[in-house]
Amino acid sequence: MGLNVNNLTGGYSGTTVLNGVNFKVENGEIVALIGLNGAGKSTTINHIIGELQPTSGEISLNGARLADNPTIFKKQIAYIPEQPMLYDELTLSEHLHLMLATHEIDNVQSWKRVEELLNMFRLSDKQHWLPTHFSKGMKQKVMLVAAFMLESPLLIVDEPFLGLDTVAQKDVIQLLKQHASLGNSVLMTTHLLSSAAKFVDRFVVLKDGQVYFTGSAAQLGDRFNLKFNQLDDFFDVFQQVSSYEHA
Amino acid sequence: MNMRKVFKERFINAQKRNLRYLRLLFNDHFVLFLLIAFGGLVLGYREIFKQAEFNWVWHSPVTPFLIAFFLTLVFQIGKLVTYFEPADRLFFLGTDYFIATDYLCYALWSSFCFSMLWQCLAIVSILPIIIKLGELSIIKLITLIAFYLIYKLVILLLEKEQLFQSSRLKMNHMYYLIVYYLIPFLLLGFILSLSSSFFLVLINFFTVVFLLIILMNFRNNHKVSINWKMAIEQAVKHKQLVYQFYATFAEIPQQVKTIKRRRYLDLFLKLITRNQKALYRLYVVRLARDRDILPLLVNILLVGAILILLIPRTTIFLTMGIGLIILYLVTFQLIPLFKDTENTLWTRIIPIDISQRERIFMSLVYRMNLLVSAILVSCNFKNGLHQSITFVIILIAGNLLLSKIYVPHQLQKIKKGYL
Repeated sequence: MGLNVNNLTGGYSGTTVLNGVNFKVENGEIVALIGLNGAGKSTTINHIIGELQPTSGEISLNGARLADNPTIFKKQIAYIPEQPMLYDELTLSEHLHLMLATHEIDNVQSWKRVEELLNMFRLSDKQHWLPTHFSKGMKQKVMLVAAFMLESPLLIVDEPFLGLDTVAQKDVIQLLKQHASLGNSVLMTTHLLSSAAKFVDRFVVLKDGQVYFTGSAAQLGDRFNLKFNQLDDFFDVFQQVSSYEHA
Repeated sequence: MNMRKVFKERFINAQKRNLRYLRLLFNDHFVLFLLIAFGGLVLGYREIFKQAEFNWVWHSPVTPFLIAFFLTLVFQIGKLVTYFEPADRLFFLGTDYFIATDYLCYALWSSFCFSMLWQCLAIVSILPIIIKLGELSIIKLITLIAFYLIYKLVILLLEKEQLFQSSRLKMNHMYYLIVYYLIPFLLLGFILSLSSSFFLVLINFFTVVFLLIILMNFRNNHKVSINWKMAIEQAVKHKQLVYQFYATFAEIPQQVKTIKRRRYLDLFLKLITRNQKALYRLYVVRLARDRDILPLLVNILLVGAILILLIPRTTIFLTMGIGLIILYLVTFQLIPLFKDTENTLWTRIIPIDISQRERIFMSLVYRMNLLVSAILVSCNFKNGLHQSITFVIILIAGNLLLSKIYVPHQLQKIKKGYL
């Protein structure tokens, strides 16, 4: 089952960005959505989290369609945006309590999981801090804790490594693997392909609002003549290939 | 999650913030401005009833539509206030239905109560003219108030509907003009001109039916999904408007700077900055594209011009007081332009020393005040040449005081970090 994006067409205020996007993220699978700037990655994510309304196509999660009941659908999603979004007036722990409350999750039971995550990201002693005292990396960590504590069936992460130190990056990879191993789906976007290739099951390459390629890291390497350690050069090669095709 | 509680908390926080700003406001120049402006308005209003030159007002068929025009303008006060914040799109993911049914309902009613206050005030203030027009029956008064309030509720419901993904109503500029301006203007004018009770009752009936149709059609269901982009944009815009209002008379720390391209001013900018220093051009262009300062200056100037037009000839001291206050407010509003330009790294790396930068800014303030003075004096010409010459002298003296003493003092404070 998992996430199913079927023939999705849509975009922003009258501009069509996506043109019949099709892909799946099975339960227990980690899929990376990649592409050059303007390919439609963020637009696809905005459609999945219900921020944009498709002109046609369908999005479903474990059989439940977004269009039928957006409230129930969105409740199954945990989303980590590229730019951290926090309330200036709320402390770290107040943010986490709010997130648990909006998802109607029992606070007492879930708080143990929250404490584990806070320890992992070295935020335990900062629970009463306001966002104005956080660095960019710390804000990103708060976003990660808020998302992972929900243990949602679908986790969407926009650029998970952005602003994180190498220790935190390793922790995130471990958490993503753990989250998927529990039977949940993970959809992420990234530009760091060599790091992602170590734990991502499949890559979905978007080009001009359409799915250009789908496959594992090995298949991606074969398709674009790249060795595993050369995957970070993918976007250079992809741009060249695209411009040849265009010509 | 109790969305009503969330809204109530935000509403209370917003009112606390408003109170804090109101304290700032009333401690500042606002009280003085308010007293003089209110005095001017009352005097001007009284003249309409006393002076023979206004006799046409009581016999003209246009008068009901002038009143309708005034009421339509007041009708625009009080939009749907939601207090949404950018982080809501993340933390309230999956609460769309509860936001639609609980949160937004509270937002709707609190916005309605706020706008109702303004509308009742507008009707009360215009009531003496309506009474003098004659034929003010109880039924007409009830129809006027009922239509005015019910139609506002309908508008707020439409605004609420706009916040949903699957909104059945996509408002473009044309719809906006018709719904917000044309319909209330025509119907209010119609109500004020009518004398037949039957038609008045009919209008009341149709207004209620219209409200019921809207209420029935816009009921929330489980398919409802919030258009967060629009909802947050609308809330941020409203917050900025409120700050903008306070910023007219006091310094507001939370105000975020926004710009607007205003391409139509390009030619004008080119003309007025020809042969001027580069930094002067920079100040003028920044001012022309500023979303806060320029509209505020225009608003202040408009209010001043209207007041001077309304004030009777006999009260020259009031005219002068208003002229000087307008000059002071214009200067006060221009100071942040200097501060903001100084805070831009680009300004600090260009090879123009601070004293020269200050001089250029002072000349901008002086010229702006000259322009404002010219407009105010032209509004005062109705009071005769003698009074206009006195007014010009007073304004020039005020301008010199402001640009040579007040502005340098403020710039020193900025340099020392006190402002």
